[in-house]
Amino acid sequence: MHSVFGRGNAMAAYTLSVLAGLTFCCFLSTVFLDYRTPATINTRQVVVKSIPDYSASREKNDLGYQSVLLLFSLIFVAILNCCTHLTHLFNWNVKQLFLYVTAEYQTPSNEFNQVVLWDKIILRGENAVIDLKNIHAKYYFWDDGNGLKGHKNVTLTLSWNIIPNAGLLPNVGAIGSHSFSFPPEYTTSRV
Amino acid sequence: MDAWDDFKRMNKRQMLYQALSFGMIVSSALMIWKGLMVVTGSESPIVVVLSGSMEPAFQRGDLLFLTNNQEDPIRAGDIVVFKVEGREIPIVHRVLKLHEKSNGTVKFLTKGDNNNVDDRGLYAPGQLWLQKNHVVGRARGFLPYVGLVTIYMNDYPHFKYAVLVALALYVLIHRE
Amino acid sequence: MDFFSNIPTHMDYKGQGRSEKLSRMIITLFGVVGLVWGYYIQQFSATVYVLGAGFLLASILTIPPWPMYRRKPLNWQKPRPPPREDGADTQSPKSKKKK
Repeated sequence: MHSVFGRGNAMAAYTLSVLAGLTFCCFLSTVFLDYRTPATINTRQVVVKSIPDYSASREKNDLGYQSVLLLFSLIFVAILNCCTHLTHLFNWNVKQLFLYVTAEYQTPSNEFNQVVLWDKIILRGENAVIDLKNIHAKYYFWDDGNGLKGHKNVTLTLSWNIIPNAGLLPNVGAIGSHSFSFPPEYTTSRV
Repeated sequence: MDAWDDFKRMNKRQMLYQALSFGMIVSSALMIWKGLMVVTGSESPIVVVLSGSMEPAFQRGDLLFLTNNQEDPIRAGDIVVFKVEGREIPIVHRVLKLHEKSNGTVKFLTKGDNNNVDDRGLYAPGQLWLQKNHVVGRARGFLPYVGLVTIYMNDYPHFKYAVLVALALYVLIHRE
Repeated sequence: MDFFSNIPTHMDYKGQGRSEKLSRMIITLFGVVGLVWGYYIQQFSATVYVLGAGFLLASILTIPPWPMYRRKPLNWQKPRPPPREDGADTQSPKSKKKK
């Protein structure tokens, strides 16, 4: 504290430790919160088509491997009539929500499958009221194999990953999901 | 230089003491790191985000805390840190698709939030899926900006050596 | 150059203590107020800004050697007559230094 520089240095160090303490308080105040919220999802039209997945089958072509593509282009999932209020999730320690819709199912070849069909980033301050109709899936729904035709029970759930200012990164599933089945025949229509 | 004068005035015993306290700092840092490795099960429990491919969630210089508990299954939406053959630096991306067999083997595909396409182009040539052995850890905790110093060190190697030398000299020479 | 070297940067002993105490009080106070305010409006950046304001205020108030930190100068003893040649360096002041 004997010189101007010494005083400035000590003060900056003290301010930084106070900042660390405040950040920790902010983290503590939100760490036990429950971020679950009801959401509704449903599908409008579901078709299944047999199409090789060229991005994943360069090697597997010679094994006669064919992936199965679900076509969303024809109004696949009119999802997310949902989560009318994610706004309340944005407390002072939430920087961003990463929303994603996962299809979960079981096939003879794989016991557990998850495919993300759609996602969205909601930053703090943006509209967090989700009410979407007739949206198309963002990513192709390719099975690993051909287990989708006639599949009886595919479950769609909405989840979100919370990105805080500082703290944990929980993945939270919405309360409520939607199950649907695929038609037993491949579609022939071009979409 | 004050510190240098201090140093010249030390006797043998004091110099040994300085060297010992320097060793103490180094070894306790190592201990904490290795201890964290045991607790989290990850070979690198704390990583600094080096690219902008997960923006706006993670910026360059943010710090991530990882765990890699084997009982805890990987699920779609998880943020994983993985290593690909032929690439030195681990990548932090989100799981997009995942297929798990009944014997527990799992394969999955990742994508960066800020990227338009999935990561197959980043994997080793011909590699289509990631597996458990590629995973360094899964992001569980987040602290912004703290790793910025590391970023500068990576970008300017001279700066890194300057900082390291200055720190070592300070610890060795400075008297308690 | 003379002008710069003549700017006083020195605080007296009591003044240093007072300036440190004052700066800590200001920063802590702003930190606490910022925390409450940020929680109230649920915006952590507000907390950080309030703390930054506290830092600026504390810098202005306690870094420059304002006259209030220079009120109690030490009363030095009058310089003694120069010591004799013999035994002059047995009591060198080298070993004690400020921390």
